[in-house]
Amino acid sequence: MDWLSTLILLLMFLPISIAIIFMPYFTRNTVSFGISVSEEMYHSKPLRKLRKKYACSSAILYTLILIIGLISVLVSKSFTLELIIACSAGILVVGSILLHLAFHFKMKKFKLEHPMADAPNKTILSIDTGFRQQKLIFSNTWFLLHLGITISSAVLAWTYYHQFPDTLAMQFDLQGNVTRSVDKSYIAVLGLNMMQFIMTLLFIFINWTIHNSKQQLNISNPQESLRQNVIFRRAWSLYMIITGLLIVLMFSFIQLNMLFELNSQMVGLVTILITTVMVLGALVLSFSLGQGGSRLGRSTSYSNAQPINDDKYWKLGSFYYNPQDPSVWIEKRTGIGWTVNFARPIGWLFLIAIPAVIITISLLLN
Amino acid sequence: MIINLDMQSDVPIYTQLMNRIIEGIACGDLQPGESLPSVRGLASDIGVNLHTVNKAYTLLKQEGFIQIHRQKGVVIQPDGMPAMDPENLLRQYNQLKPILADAICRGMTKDQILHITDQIYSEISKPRKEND
Repeated sequence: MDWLSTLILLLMFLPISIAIIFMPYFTRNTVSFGISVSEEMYHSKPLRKLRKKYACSSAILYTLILIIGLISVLVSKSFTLELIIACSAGILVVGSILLHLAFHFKMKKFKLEHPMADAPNKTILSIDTGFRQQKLIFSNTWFLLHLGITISSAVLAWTYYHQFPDTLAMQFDLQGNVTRSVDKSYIAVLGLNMMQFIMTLLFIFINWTIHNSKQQLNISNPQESLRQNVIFRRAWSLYMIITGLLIVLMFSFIQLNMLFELNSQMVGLVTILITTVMVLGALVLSFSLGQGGSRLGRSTSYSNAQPINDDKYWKLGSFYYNPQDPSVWIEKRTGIGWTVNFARPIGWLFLIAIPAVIITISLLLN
Repeated sequence: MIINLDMQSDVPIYTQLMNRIIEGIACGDLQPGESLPSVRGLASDIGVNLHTVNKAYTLLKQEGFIQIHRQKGVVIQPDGMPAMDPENLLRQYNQLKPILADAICRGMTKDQILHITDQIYSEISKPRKEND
């Protein structure tokens, strides 16, 4: 195996495992492994220890997976690189879910055994009436850029259609060998622009979601929490616009590559480079902002105010199911980003429709 | 303006919401013409049924504290606040009476009651600092 494959494996594996290892440090200071706690409790010694224990256990687990993966890449001749990557990714996903569940139940037990003695009995919710008048996201008009690139690529591809080679390479393995090619057709050539269009729509939708998801302010300091949250939403909105642009440019590059039949390894390299930039960008944002902006300018005094106890709506600490809540999009409990309220049918619709559209389009293009 | 609601209180959410908005208008945190969130937006932020917010808004509209437009959405009454007419005076009288009776039963003097009223009045009318 050449050094490139090993590098690819590392580039994909490392940032993702780092993100999962440090996950409990990204959450708001009022959530510990999917259980709502007061800030004071979050920063208490036993919970600090619990987070450290999680980080260590997952670090050990993922190092083992990585070592086994690397050894099989170097030694084994019967398995392909793709198979090894898929297997290690699968083990990583299952392992991280099991580990998180184990710590979730440990935390649940801990909260039951340690009711906050001096916690105020009230549960206050803070709402800013001017929240949505704030500039929460970068305008969707930025996506005109993406649409412009998509349309000009499509027009160019249409104009120079006769110059495309008679067979088009559709799929490469990680070494840059063509694994699948098709006869030239308008669908095969312009399908890439179709994908660009769908991806742009998807990113516009995500940006809209970032604007509309539920307002969640920390009751102990609503003003500060508001400021953090605005920065958080704007940063991720910008991230969506930039990664959307990178993906659109990547498809245009693939199309150019079809036309001029450039070095086939280039396509693989560019794809990996863009994916790496996206993953690293997400990692940097996660570390610097935290969930909901909670890592921005953390205070040193911890309030003992009890946040609204919505644990019963968070199934297994990760799935929000609250029929009383009309909001569809809500901040995730663990990790960074947003999730749907599974009690809203429209939430299910989004979760099913988005992958369905993308899969249908890619199947149609094949 | 930041509104605090007590989710476990016996006072219904729509009443709390109305009270906070009227207080906001009284102390100047909510200016005439300022927009309020849509019914759906506010309901999802609080995490309650749409009817709860709708009820608060409808009552506030009936009182004349807000206007609800089809396009502009919900705004604080820009054309002057409702006046204190005899009907409202009577209602206020009836609302204050049990509160005063309760206070008297618990041994409060007239001065103490007036002092509290004075305190509340200056709390509301005093201009607040931005980062309060």
